[in-house]
Amino acid sequence: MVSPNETGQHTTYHIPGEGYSFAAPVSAAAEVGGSNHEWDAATVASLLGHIGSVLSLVRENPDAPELPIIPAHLLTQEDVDLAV
Amino acid sequence: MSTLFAKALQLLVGSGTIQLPLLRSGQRPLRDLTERQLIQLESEIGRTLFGPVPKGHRREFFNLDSTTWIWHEQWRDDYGQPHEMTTRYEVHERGILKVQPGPTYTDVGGQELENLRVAAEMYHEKVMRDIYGRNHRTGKKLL
Repeated sequence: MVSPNETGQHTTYHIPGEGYSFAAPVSAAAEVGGSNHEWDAATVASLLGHIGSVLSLVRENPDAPELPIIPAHLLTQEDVDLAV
Repeated sequence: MSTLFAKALQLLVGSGTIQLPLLRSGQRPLRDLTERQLIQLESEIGRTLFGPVPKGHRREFFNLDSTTWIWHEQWRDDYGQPHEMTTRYEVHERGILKVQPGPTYTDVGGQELENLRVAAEMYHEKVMRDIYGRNHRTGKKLL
């Protein structure tokens, strides 16, 4: 069970019984989470897998001229708000 | 202990304190850094994505490889007792599996899934730009 708790610029999600909280920047959540799009678990998994693959490659060779492109449909249309 | 978990644990705990130089954009000797050091740099960004770290807490959030994301939190309770929680998010074809001490295994869904997606996307964009000097959409180097 996750419940939101607004705290200024951030929304903190307390997870009862787990001793810590999972928070996401509320501005970013409003920007990209918007919720006209339903993000199913398999799609999120695909996104995280692609990001992890790209980062693994760039760590191996920071000067690589090209890196795989993450499919556009996995990324949000708007850039996330980075003012955190 | 699996190799994967040992690798994550070493990243979290380390084998001693590593003092990384303050790295400025365009002056990063990335080729001189190990994978571990690069991930530690990434975690400096990752730990900022969830809001301020409470006093007395240590937080790490980073991508380990193509199938693993790690969230680690250390803190002391009101009696000064140390606590820590390491959560491993495993990427599977059908979704994300959350693995916590016990171990317990939980499919990530609902708001937590959305939070994780937002965090990963922010992590990707900021890490690619601020550490690797690249556009996160194209992978190309920024001018």
